[in-house]
Amino acid sequence: MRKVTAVWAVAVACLALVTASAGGWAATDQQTLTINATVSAKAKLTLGVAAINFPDADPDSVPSVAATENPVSVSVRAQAGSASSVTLTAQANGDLDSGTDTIDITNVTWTATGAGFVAGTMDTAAQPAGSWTGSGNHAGTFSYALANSWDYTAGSYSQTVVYTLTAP
Amino acid sequence: MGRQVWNNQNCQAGAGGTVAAQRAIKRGLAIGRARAHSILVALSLSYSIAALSGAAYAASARLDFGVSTLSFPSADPDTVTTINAVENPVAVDVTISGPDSTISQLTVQAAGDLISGPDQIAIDNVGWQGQGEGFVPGPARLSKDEPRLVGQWVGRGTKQGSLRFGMDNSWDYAAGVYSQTVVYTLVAY
Repeated sequence: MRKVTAVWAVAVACLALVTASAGGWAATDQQTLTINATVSAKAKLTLGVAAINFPDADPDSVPSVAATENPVSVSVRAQAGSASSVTLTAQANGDLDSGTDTIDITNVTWTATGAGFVAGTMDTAAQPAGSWTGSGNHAGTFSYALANSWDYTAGSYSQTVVYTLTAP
Repeated sequence: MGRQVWNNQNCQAGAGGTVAAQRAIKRGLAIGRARAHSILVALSLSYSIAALSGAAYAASARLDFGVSTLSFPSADPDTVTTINAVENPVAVDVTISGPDSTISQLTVQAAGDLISGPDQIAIDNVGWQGQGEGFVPGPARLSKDEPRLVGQWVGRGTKQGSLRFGMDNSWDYAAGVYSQTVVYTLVAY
């Protein structure tokens, strides 16, 4: 009787040992890291040239004088709110001037290529040149033209135009 | 007819029981008690063996990070194509105890993309490079879909390393302040 009991006790002990060994002793630890990223609104405008030139031409044969630098590349890059309106405008600082002579700046027009870029007519009031919604990188071109006329006084005219890109 | 004897172990001799039967009953009870005692001893012994086995071979793992938050500042995507975390390099200590055969592994998984209200930046735009024994050199990228290996070791001791985090920059990101959590899990077995 005692022998049977002893054998049984050893068997139970072995079973417990095997069970314990097979139960798995993996240890774990965890750490949580919080990632924060800030994207501030920003805008960047790049024009392919700093000046455009309209050469002299016969008004009969060249009623519209194209700028020699056409097409002018333009790049608009902005980070803005996803629903924010990103706008590009052009505003002339005055008419084309040559001493006391002027050519109305509205005689200068442009056409546009590229998504979001729009054609327009130069003016001393800001004119839309492009618009987009939210962030993005946009490339296009502007091609400028000066309406020709026998009424223009001979001279060298010039004026500056300010392009403004806004990304709220 | 034999005498009836009432046993104090709630064992009742039926009518007509004999002294021999009573003795047999007592003997059986004694055997039962002895057997029960043997069983108890065996169970205690096996439990002790199991406990000792567990105490001798269990691994333990500890993971320590130098920071709890990573910050990526705003930057011009034209000049800063990869934004480095302000906290770089991030110190990581992995401490393992157990037998020499202990295998340990450190993984990371993000809880989702970087979120700012309705806007998101895919979390796989964030990556890291590891330095130190057992740390994956990379570069590697975070994932929200599956754990990514950060390091693995065999044996015990403290493994010191560091992680350098970077985030791809883009003009396509909507302006905002983004956030997300990532969980580092260390397993030793």
